[in-house]
Amino acid sequence: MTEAGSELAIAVCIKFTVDVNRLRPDPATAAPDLGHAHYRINDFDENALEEAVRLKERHGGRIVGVSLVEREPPRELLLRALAAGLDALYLVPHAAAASGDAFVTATILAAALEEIGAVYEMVSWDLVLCGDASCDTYDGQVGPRVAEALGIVPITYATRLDVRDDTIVAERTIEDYVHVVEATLPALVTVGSETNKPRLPHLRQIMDAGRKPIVRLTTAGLGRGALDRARATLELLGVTAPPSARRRMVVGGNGPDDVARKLVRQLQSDGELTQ
Amino acid sequence: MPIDFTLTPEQKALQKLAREFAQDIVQPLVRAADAEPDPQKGFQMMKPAYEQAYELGLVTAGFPREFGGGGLGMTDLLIAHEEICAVDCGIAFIIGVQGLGLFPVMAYGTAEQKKRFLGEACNDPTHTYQCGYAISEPAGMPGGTANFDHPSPQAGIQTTADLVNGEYVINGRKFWPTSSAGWDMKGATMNSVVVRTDRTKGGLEGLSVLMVPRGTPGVRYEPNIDKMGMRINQNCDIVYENARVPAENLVGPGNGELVVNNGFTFTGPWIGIAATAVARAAYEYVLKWSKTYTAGGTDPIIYHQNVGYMLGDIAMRVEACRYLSWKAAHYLDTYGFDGAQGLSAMTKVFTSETCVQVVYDCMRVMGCNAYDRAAHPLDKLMRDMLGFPIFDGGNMGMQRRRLWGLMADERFDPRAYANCDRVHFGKENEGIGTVTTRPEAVRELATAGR
Repeated sequence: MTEAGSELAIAVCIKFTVDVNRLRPDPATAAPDLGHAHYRINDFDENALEEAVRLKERHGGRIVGVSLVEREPPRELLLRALAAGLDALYLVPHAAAASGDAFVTATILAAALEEIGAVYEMVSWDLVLCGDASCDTYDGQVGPRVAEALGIVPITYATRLDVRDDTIVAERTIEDYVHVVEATLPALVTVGSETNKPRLPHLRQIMDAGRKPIVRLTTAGLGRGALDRARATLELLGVTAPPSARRRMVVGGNGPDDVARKLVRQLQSDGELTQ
Repeated sequence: MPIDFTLTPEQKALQKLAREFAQDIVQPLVRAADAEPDPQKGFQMMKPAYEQAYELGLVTAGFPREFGGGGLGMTDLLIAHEEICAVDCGIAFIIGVQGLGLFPVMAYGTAEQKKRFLGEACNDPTHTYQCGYAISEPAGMPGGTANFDHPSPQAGIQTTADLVNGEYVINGRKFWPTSSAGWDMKGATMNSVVVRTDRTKGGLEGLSVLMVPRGTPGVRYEPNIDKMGMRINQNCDIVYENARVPAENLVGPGNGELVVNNGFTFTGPWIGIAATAVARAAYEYVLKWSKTYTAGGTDPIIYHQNVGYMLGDIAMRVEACRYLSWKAAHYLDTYGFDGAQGLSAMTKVFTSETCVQVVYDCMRVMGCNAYDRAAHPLDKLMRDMLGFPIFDGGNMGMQRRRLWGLMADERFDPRAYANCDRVHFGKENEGIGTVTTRPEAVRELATAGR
């Protein structure tokens, strides 16, 4: 808790990812054409940020964003994250951001969170919010691994949450029932698209976002030998798009019903539809 | 230092906001609202999107920060406006017309009037504030509006406002005003109305603007004009019968014709980017179509040379129109209304006429399929597009005449816009071409002058 005793110190882990919907494979190698990629804020992290803003609106407090980045993301994305409700944004540049190794990412993020809390913000985090997963690699591991590294309680796949005194209450919608969990703060919670619908920021928040602080940390300064511990456990051999040759088939027949029947039969025989 | 067309990070973030607003909030409402036979009902169907636009600051984006607005310049506004217009220019105009409606206050209002009217516009807790803009008058004898700066008091604007016991009493009729009748046909929150405040003087001295609030007795709103395009945008028919407004609502006394001219200066690049956006929507749709449609051949039609060349011609015109609009907006941001009249008129005329042809060329690429209004958007895009050359100061009626008035001035420097030098525009550039060339009338004038 912050000095006031009731306001929340919230950190949101944010990944600036490639926009997979606009990603094209290189025709020669089938690898993603990152040279022409568009970037975005990971969609579940937008849910995490929105949830942080809602908690701040109810309880007061301060929200900072923390992001491990391979290189500086496009500034308009940083502004958008700030406009959405961050009070400050911390960027941690490190080549490991491109490795896709959730252990390395989480180890560095946890060390950065400790550093930012202790040195820059002078708070102990009440809450760390993460997206359930990132839209590019979709590992879903970073949140729980950060909680483990920080030694705090992880609550994953929360669909609703609130804070009562020093307790967080979270709902997890699991198929046909709702799992309600409580934990004493501090805690780390991961959220997804069912948790909320991120609002669009006000135009003035966008135009003024550049006045909010963006701090760039160096990993060299991170404590407890974070970099030593953050040795890669995975080796990324390659990323390629599956081949998808267009068949350009035309299904003919006598009238719509006949065509539909033939289309379904064709899709079943091609294995596109199950029987 | 090169001429820089780079968008700033703030402008890119603004563009993204406008795009998301347009795609997520506007798009789902457009088709049904456009198809609604009752234009007022179609307008009302967009109210939730308008309220959201107000909440996001898009409605008041161009008003100064000190009154609660977004403080954006014209170039910034264009970047956002293009994204909304590419989805539907009707809602974009409902959102943007506040700037035009309150333009007289911004440009000619006193400090007190700015505080009052702009403050009210920017701080509406219901998020429904609208300010309409009423200049145009119905056809008839006399009628229409293109000769608003005619030297005869019997020509041009014929809606009158007489000062009686500290109040202006308005009589007359307006036709075409945008967003003036309000969500319930009982009037927008405010309307700025160009009126003749001196019945003895011509268009260069006798016109002024009155701010007419909702609920003013004597103002009647007739059913909305049923238009072929831009159906989501509300255009009204208003009757004033002894409508009284306080004298302190008078703006720009004796300068009503400058308000009209400069209002169109303000909207020139704004219409330019709107036309560009509609053309862009057609272009992007047809480009995609041409990469999948084979027209009975073996390969998509884009591999036919004719289609490829046509798409190239389409694309280059869309790009050219965008950058001319940006240039005009940049000039406005640099010099304000003092001098942007000519470039603004050029932009409005060039883009609107070019982009009509662009949408038609997109239809030519698609062929008869473009005519299928259920399956493809070309029908709506063309209907909307056809409004641009003929409204907001018709290209033939007003815009070319404004440019002519400026170019005929001995001081006019044809290189001024390229050099980004200030170009003066004043009352002496108005009124050109308003006096008739009907032979009998010319003879009568000659006789009268003897």
